[in-house]
Amino acid sequence: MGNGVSHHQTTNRKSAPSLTIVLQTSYPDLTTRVVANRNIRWCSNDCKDVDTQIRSKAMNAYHKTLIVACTMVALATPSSAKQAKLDVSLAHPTLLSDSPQTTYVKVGLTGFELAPNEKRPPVNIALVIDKSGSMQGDKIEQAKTAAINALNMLTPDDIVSVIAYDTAVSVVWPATKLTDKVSVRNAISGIGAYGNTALFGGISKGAAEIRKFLARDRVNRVILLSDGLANVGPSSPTELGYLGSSLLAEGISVSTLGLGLGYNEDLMFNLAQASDGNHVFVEDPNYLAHVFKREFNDVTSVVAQEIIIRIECAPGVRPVRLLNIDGDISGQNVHVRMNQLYAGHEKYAILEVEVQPGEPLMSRRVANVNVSYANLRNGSNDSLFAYADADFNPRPSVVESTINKKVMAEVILQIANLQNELAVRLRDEGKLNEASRVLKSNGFFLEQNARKFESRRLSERADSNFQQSDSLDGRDWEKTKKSMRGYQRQDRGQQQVGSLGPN
Amino acid sequence: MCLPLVVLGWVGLRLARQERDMATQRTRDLLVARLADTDRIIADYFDTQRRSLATIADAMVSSPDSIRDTILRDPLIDNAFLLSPDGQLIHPNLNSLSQRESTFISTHGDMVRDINTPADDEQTATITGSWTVRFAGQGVNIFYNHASPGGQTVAILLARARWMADVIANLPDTPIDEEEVDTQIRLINANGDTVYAWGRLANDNDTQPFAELPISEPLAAWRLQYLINPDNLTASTAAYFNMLSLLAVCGLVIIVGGLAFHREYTRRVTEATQRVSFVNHVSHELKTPLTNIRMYAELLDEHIDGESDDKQRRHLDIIVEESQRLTRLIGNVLTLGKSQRDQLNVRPRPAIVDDAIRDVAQLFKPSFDRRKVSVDMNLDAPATVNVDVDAVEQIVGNLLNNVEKYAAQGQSVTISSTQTDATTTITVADQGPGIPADQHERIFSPFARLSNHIADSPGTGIGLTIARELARRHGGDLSLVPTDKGACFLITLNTPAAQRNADA
Repeated sequence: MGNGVSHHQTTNRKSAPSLTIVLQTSYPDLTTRVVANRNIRWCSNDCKDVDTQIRSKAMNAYHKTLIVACTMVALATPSSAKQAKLDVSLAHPTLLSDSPQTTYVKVGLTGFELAPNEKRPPVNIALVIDKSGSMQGDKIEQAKTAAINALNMLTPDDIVSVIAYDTAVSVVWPATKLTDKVSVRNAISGIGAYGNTALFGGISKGAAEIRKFLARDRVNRVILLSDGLANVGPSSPTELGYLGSSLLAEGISVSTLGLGLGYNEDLMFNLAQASDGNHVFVEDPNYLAHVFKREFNDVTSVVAQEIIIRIECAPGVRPVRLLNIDGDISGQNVHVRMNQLYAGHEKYAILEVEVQPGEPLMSRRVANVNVSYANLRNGSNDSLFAYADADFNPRPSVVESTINKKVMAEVILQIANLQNELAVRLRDEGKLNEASRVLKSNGFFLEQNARKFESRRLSERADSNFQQSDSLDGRDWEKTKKSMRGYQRQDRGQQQVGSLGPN
Repeated sequence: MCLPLVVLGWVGLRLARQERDMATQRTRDLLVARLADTDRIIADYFDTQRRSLATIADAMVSSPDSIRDTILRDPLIDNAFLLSPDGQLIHPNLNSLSQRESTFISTHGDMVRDINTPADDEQTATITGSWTVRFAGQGVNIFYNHASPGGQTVAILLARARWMADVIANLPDTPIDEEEVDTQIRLINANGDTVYAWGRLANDNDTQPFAELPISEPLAAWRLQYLINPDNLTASTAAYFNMLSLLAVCGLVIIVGGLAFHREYTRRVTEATQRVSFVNHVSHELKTPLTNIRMYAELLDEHIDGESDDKQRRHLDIIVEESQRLTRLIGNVLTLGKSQRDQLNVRPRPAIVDDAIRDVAQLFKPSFDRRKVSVDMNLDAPATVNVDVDAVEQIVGNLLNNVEKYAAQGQSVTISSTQTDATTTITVADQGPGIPADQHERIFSPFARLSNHIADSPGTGIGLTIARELARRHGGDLSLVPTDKGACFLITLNTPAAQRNADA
């Protein structure tokens, strides 16, 4: 049994104290690895001393206790260099040895927590508010009130700009430090609704305001509130998606809040998805205050941003597609961008791979993962590294029994989302029956796997699917589609809330 | 009257229209200049990008392996071609294409052929490159072309959404409370759709652009439009309408004035004619009864002569005198009418002037006797001459009437006459209050009296006017001779000698 040697490197400004733990294994076909984000020395029968970052596969009780002890010791060690946690796992840690198999590589990042007395990183927010004619009345009033109230969550160190758009775009409040809340409030209160919807222009101006103070140590985000269809300027979901990705490359995320039943959910979804922002369906303007608070809460809990994930697949491993996020696949390499990581919250990217059969009982590298990001707490550029290895076994039952349930549940969730997207396409083409069928079968798929992988989220989604399969008619569809998009973004981006309202 | 008006109107209209068109054109030129300012903002943005893209292109040439990375990191770059000096495609690597690169090649791959054949020496010499525009996908695709000194060629495709957002970010936004502006500038793409707009129009739809300007490279397929509310073209439109209304008013004034004048003229002529004919008519009507009164009074006078008492005689005298006065008055009025109509004629006939004088003096005798005015007559015009006896009687009668009215207190009147070849001269002098020097000419004006008080003396003020007019028509004149006391009137008449055998 050969155990792969792996390297773990951190390029921190401060060096971390190391803790040495020595483990010994006696099971030839199982290897014991410990999940921790501390430096751990591991040695196999050969007792090689290395610094490693390792992940768990399967453990017996003894090892579990050891792991717990190690972890406790590890966490007890004070460290002045907090980092995000990188977690690379396979859905099938054990693969079939005599035929190619599809499995999934999950790259998970969790934001570190700030100490209770630590000041959070300052934010740089552009509020882009739709003030077209359709927003007249209750909607614009609630939006303004919600925005004004949410400002109370910010401090004078934070930078805020307010943009309002209808046919033309007005920079109601240019990007400035929030030292004078009253004036910003007044500027927001003065917004009145009439005209068309220049959404692209609004976002452009919002991004321009953010660029005035664009900095790696600030959380840069555009928050868009719209209730209507964009009709001035580029307004196709594709174009808005491209805009989103270019903003992501700059370190700016766009969160899109869709209000009511009249907005273009594809457009709003694409923009958020491409820029790694939130997308929320708000059916009732009375929930705007809550949504704004949640959004500001997210922004003020970002600890890392501008995340670049590079997955290098080993020979014999073919990257097929990314399930929940956009990226660039060229040859063996996969390049993924994410933006903002919240404290204590995990975001992930799942890559589907096809693995060629390998020698049974041989462990093989599946993928190497390099991650770099901007650490907002200390202003440094952190790099993390991790990898995934797999074992091979001729027996399917063994393969089955070693499935990583958590990862698999997340895989199922993403696959179901892709299926649902097919249903949406069918419904938009007018094929209600087919769409309904897809949704229903997807529902069963979710239900089955919910039981198998013990996932509550999957059974919730199964229920939603059944509900949605019955709400494809006329006006119902408007609402259904919007909440689907909200959930979709929630699932794909691991955001907290997808849809708010009486539904 | 109509023709000059028409001409005036036509010329004025053309002028006004020209003026308005010129004013509109001036406004348009002004607005195009403003659009040109905006165009410069856009051109400046692309110039700035060109400079940084040149640096990036050079870096791509020197390290082709890092191209993918560069593309992924740079928000503005969608993808890029890198060609070796002999036209081989270095990047993207056709043997290991990513999904993005596959799409890129399938959409824009044919560009490689065109890049392959650079124009001979030009491109190798340039360091900063040029723009190429292709229409594909959503619309305009902008490439930056760069030829490095080593002979490699780079073509960088800009991310569409990004440069659009950047251009918009550089353009003005619209202040939120400027609701009264009513102008808007629009950025229009190759399909005619509005990409971005600033300013506000009261009525968004269906407004034709007032001025347009295509944008500089590389967005030459796009344009800027200036929209204004056409009602607001105040300057030129107002001037135009002002001109028109001014013309209309002038024309109207001319027409109305002309009509009014014509009417007034006609009316006056009619009125005058009517008045004169009325006067003549009335006078004539008055004359007839008067003649009767006089006739029967004189008859009665003869009848009672020598037998009746003085009282009766005196009453009769008064009746006769007054009717004579009336006759004279009417005669004066008629003469005046005739004179005004230029119909006054004198009819000289063979007669003796002194006889005429004696006759008229006789008429006044009773009145003068009563007033104790003595009449001295020094008549020396016994020749038979051609003379209008009625005229002489009227003239002398008017003078004696005046004496009776104004100079009776002088208690004396002297009438004398002389004759030379063809001229007879008569003087009538009294010892009354006289006529002030400044009134010497005025007394001959019609209706002029020394005093306007009716109580002062009866009279219409036309006596002397008539007398002079008659004298002048008779080839002579009537004038006032300066005297120490009283008034002395001098009459001259043209009286050529006549044959005794002519009709008496």
